[in-house]
Amino acid sequence: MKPVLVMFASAPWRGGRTRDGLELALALLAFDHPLGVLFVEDGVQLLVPGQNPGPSGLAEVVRGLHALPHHGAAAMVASAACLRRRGITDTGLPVARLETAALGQFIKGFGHVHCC
Amino acid sequence: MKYGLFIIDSAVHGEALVSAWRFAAAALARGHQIRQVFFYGDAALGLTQPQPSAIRALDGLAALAAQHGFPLLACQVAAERLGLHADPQAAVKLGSLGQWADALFEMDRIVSFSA
Repeated sequence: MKPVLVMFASAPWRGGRTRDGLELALALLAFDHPLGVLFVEDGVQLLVPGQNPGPSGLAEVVRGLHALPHHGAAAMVASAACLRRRGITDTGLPVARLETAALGQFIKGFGHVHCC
Repeated sequence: MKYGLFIIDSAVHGEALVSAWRFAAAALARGHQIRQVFFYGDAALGLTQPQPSAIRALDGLAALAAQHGFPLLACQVAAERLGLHADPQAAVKLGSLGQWADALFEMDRIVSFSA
């Protein structure tokens, strides 16, 4: 069984991309796919704690992201460079930070990659 | 190689559908297989308000699907959010993320298409 990586690369305010990614991750976990989650580019904005959820249901989505390890997601990783570039020091989610070189190796460990 | 195509942006916003069609045609011509094409999120929107390029791409994908026997599925939850209903005559059927997750076991590689 190939492990699957769901990559969040879109900002929280970009439509329903994040919600779609979360629902996809949950569906994959329900079918026992080994799952990893990666936050890159504007997707790291999801990790900013205490965001105003607004009308888009962001708070619910962030709660769902928090729950992914409990549902079986084996790895939660963020790009350290993307966090730095956006001045994000604290993250509301417990994620490992990987530098770009290590990210390549991390992604290679997955048989399938979904980008949301 | 067995491919799954995952389309996440509608043809209203980009060329995702056209790219998926061209990719499918090229892969099949080289002897690869397509196991499933899944329209997720905004991609379902392109099915209701298709641009001329999208109509051609959809027809092309439907012809390939009929010829090679792979399903074209649109996410039912996304479709319901957009107020779409199942059309038994349509080439693209409503399906669930579970069908995609299940088919993933048979795929060697997935390719995502976005704007």
